[in-house]
Amino acid sequence: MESHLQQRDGVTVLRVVGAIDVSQALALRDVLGEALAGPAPRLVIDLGAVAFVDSAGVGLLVTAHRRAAQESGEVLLADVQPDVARILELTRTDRLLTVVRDVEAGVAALRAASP
Amino acid sequence: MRPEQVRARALEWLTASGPAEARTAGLMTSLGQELALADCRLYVRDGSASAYRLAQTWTSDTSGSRRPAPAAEADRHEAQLELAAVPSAPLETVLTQSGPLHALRLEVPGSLDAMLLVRDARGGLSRGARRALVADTDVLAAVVAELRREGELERDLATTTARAETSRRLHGSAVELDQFLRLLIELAVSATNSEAGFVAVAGPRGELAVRARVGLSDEVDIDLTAQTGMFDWELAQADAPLLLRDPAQAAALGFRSVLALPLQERGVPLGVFGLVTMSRPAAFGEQSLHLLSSFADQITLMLDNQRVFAEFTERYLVVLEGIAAAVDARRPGTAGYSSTVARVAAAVSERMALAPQDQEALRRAGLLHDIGLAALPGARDHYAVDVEHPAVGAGLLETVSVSPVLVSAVQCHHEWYDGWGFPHGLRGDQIPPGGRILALAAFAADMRTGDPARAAWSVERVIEEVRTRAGSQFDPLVVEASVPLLSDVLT
Repeated sequence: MESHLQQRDGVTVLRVVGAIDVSQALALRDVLGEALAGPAPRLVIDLGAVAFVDSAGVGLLVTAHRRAAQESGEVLLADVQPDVARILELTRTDRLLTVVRDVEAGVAALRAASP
Repeated sequence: MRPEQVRARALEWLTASGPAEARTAGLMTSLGQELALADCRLYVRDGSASAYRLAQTWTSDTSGSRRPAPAAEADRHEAQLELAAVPSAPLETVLTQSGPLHALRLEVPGSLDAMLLVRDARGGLSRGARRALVADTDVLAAVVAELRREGELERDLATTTARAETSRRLHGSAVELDQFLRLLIELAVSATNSEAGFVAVAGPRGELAVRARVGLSDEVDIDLTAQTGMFDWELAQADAPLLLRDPAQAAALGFRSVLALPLQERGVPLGVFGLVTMSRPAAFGEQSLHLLSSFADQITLMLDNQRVFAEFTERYLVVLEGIAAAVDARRPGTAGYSSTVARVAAAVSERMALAPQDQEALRRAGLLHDIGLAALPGARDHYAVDVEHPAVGAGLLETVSVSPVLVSAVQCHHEWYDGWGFPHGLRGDQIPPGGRILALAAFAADMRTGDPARAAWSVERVIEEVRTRAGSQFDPLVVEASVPLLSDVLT
């Protein structure tokens, strides 16, 4: 798994490549911690190149969402592949997470919502 | 016919063997023949019903042969008896559609309100028959009331047993569940190219415990504790999401990936289905996710059936306990006897450090140990009843998947440690520990309770007798464990 952080119009975008499973989760947890640092974090996680997320990965995505919400920020998932969407549904976490079509839509939504 | 003959016949049929309805028919036949009647009918009024309902008839037909008939076959008689007024005098004439009959009210307050309608071949009633019936009205009423109560018990038992059998066939036993779970996990592991899998089941208080596993050795200890374990799952919340709490915990078990699905039915959390890889990345494509989902549905269905069946089993045992308590209440002075046996059995098994679930099984065995008597009500051959009731009781309990400790204890509660008990003459360790404990509990409670033929013993005398019988009737270890606590439990 690889991850790339970048800023776009004041919004953090995290692009993940590869599967997010137990073996990758600890590394990704550190990256997410970095991405969510500071007040009112706004983060789009680009899952366009993620074919599989296991329960560890799902747990990280939900934790990121909750942590951002606690700091009055927001996390959006962009370009979620059908298999990953199905996993979110099977683990019943799809209702906890906000999914947008692609990174551009996510950045636009968070920019519009920013103070 | 002399009055004492009516009484003797009635008591004979009360204690005869066979189903209560057949014995009621026997009683009617005896009355018809002994009193030279042509028509003898029993009508019973249930609760607040306005009319009396035909329960049993006996007639001598024109060919001279005589036959008893249950109500269903009694097409020649009215099924309902509507009385403008209850006859004020015994054997007063009442008019029915088939002519006048003499009515004798059989009444046991709170238990029976019946009318015995009789006539002889000329439409009247001989002086002897009249005298005999009037003299023993109370005995007849008591016997009919008791036979009807036993009939109700038999019907309850038959209905409950039939339901249990149906349910067992539909849902399978606990052993079958474990086999099916393992099979489904194996299929899912293979279909999704995983390496291992497990199903954890939610207990009554929402605690998760692994019920079946494939590809994971018993050393792999998956911590499922609610607050700190592998999964974060709000069981109290309907349709709650299932999250892996800490990836480090899964990594420490050697898991490379774990995909765990919550199993819920109608919002009730039932368990967790997990698939694991250790040496390679997981590969869940669209097809394998579809398969995973359908395996999860099947497992959910099985766990839900198991839950429903467990609820049914519990209700079945409660019904049997009610019937057992009714059997106790039927005999003078023995009300509460089975509860005492249950208390003693539970206390002794706790002192002997049996597993908690076995302690609970023996408490219930105490309540149910004589349930076989309910299935053999009023049998004439008391020896046969004594010998058969442990096996009959165990048979009633085996119908559903209850603890084998419960079944074997009921089966063996009349075995003696030295081999002189019944039904099988088992000795020593051949008798399961639960049977040895229940045998002492039943004896102690029985002696302490007493019956019409024997006054209740003092606690001291019971303890002394239990001590004396160590090594003969009772296991010395059970005696040793019981003696210090009998005084408290029996008082």
